[in-house]
Amino acid sequence: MKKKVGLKFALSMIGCALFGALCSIVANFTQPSLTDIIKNLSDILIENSTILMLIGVIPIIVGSVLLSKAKSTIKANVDLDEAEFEKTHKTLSLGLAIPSIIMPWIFMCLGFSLICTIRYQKATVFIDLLILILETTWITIIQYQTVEQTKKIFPEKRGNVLDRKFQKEWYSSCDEAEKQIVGEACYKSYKTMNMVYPVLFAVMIFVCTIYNLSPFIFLMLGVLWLIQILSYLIPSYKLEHGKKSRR
Amino acid sequence: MPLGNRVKEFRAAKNLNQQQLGSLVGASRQTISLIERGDYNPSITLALKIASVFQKTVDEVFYLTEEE
Repeated sequence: MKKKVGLKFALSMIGCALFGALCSIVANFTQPSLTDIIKNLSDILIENSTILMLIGVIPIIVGSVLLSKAKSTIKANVDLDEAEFEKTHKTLSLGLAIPSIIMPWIFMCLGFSLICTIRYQKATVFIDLLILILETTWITIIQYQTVEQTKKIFPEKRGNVLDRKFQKEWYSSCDEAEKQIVGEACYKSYKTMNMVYPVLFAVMIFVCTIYNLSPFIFLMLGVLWLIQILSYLIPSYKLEHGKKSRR
Repeated sequence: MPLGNRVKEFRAAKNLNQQQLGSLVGASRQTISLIERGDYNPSITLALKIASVFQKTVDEVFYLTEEE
């Protein structure tokens, strides 16, 4: 069994090395066109930052629709039967999740906009900043109202979205099953990110061979990866061996 | 080995809804629903609390099932 796992690992390493070599050969032969592709893509992102930012409104609208749907169900009857409860809980969860995933998108677009302003002396950053403020305000309102509606079907839940201690209070009002769900989801996120970072590094190394990249990209990726690892390892070590261990 | 349970049956016999049972054992309605569907295995503490509400022993409420 051990031999089989070892062989699988060795083969995957050889596979990765071969893939890397192939990418280098491809990059070498197609360098001018790849450089053009990256440059064109960068220009498209930078010049269309406002449009990209406005695309962020779509998930926010979806979130608002879901929230109003759940709101009307709860308003009609707060003592929902089992099927209605499941449906409303699902709607509220989606209503909270969909607008939240747009936050990184909005900030990414603001970055493009800032580069556009610096490079072309345009005032796009001010327009985009205004859109960012409007969108984040809208998202906060959705989050606040969704949490308030959730509290109606889960009266034991505590916390106010506008409070800095919201995450802590909400988590402490969760019972064992809900905490387990949070734990499992966090672990999946940790595992995913531990796969994503090496891939990102590989991509950046590849891009670096054909395009002039700032060393800060590597620094930023390294710091983010390190934060990811430490923020997992330190609490897990403390929980296992520290004074607050869960024995 | 998966855990089966008769929570829904005993809850109905006691004329309790999921919210009421949840309040009695200090769990959310969602958790009771997850337990009833077999999607969550409760801790020993919670299993004891649930069994106590039904005035049953834990192994009358929860049991191991053969099939995966």
